[in-house]
Amino acid sequence: MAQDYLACVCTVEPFDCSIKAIESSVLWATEGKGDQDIGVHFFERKTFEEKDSASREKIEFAVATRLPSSPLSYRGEILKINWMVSLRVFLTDDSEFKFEFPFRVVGSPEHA
Amino acid sequence: MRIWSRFLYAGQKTFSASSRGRWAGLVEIGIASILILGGFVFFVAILAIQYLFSDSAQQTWAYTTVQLVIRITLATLALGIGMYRLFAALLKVNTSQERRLAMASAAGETESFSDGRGNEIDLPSVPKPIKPPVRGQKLPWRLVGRRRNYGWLFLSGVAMLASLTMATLSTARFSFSFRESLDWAALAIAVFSSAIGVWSSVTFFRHALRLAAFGPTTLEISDFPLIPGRKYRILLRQPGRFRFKLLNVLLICEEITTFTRGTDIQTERRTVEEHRLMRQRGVNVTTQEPFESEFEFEMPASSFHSFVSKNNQVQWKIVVQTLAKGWPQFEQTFPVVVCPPGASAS
Repeated sequence: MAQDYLACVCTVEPFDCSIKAIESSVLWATEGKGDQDIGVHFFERKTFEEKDSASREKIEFAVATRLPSSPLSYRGEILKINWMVSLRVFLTDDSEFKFEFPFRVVGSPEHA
Repeated sequence: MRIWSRFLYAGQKTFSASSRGRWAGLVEIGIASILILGGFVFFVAILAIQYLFSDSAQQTWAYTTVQLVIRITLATLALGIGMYRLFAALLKVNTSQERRLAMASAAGETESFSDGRGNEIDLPSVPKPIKPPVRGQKLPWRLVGRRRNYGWLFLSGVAMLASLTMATLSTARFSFSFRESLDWAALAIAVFSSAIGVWSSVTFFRHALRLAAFGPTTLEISDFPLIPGRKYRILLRQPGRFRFKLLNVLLICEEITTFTRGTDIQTERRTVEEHRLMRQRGVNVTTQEPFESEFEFEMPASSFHSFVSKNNQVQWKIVVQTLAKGWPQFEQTFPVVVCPPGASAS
């Protein structure tokens, strides 16, 4: 719900590779006929040293933010607005992986 | 012209109360138009003949400087009086007291987005109103509509003057070619530019009459911005000089997207919601007694809020459509901002 607190725990477990950095973000993105627009509401980047053992182990971290009042999730005819938690994992061999976890933001009940 | 106007306004039985005002407007604009056209053609004719006979022995028309000055003065006077009367007739209907008040109030408004009670709201991606509403007279807010489109009036006016100039000059050229060999090219140009002149004149006067007949629509609203699920009262006021067959007030939501195709940038609009707020049939409207109607509507609870990003938009607007006998459909648009439910002031 808009203006509510969003909190989630993300777990990344590498197999036979080591992680250089992880970027987590909460964002909305448009989808449809028009060119895509993206609005990043929350962004955090964690970096790891190559010699750091943590880069090869299971990593758990929290993403927490208070959602804005707008835009809300929308499914129109030629335009959609999707909210998601996005994770981008960068490996030491310069490859990267992106994971998206969509969720919906709806209007909060009126308290005016 | 004043005599005609007085006759038409004076309560002659030939005309009904509403048609008298309408006919008076038509006569005013018609006479002003004749003066403009006459003055312009006269002016161009003087210049053309002066130019064509500048080194001829048969210089009869513009023989003396005094005569030339008198003729140019007369032509300019006719042109000037005609234009003054035309704009006066248009302004008489187009600038109401309410509109002036709106313009004066709008000048004092800041660009900040307010919830209607003076509170700032933090609403990312919800556009601020381009023209914020101003204080209304009967209801708290008065919506400021999109400016009326004078583009066609201006374009057709320029086309009319240009083509009539060309027609006059080429006709004069053809007429004087009788003494030597006939200039058929001049005749062809004269015919062609006359045709364009007739078309552009019709277009020009049609737009001028339409602007004179349909006064500025005003909409007042009980609260602003709109929030889904809430009820609002609207006051519609429509002055003018006509009898409308149908008047529709619609609440419209459009999705607007911009996309790149190769090197082209294209925009697509799609109406995704349309709600009829009010409909009225067959009402006489005069400048003295504008049509007024107050009604209530509920913003649909499921409506999406206004949204704007670089390439995508969701826009809401209230559209007043007027359909009068003998006129093309006339629309006045009032952009509105819809906020998400529960949006609170910071």
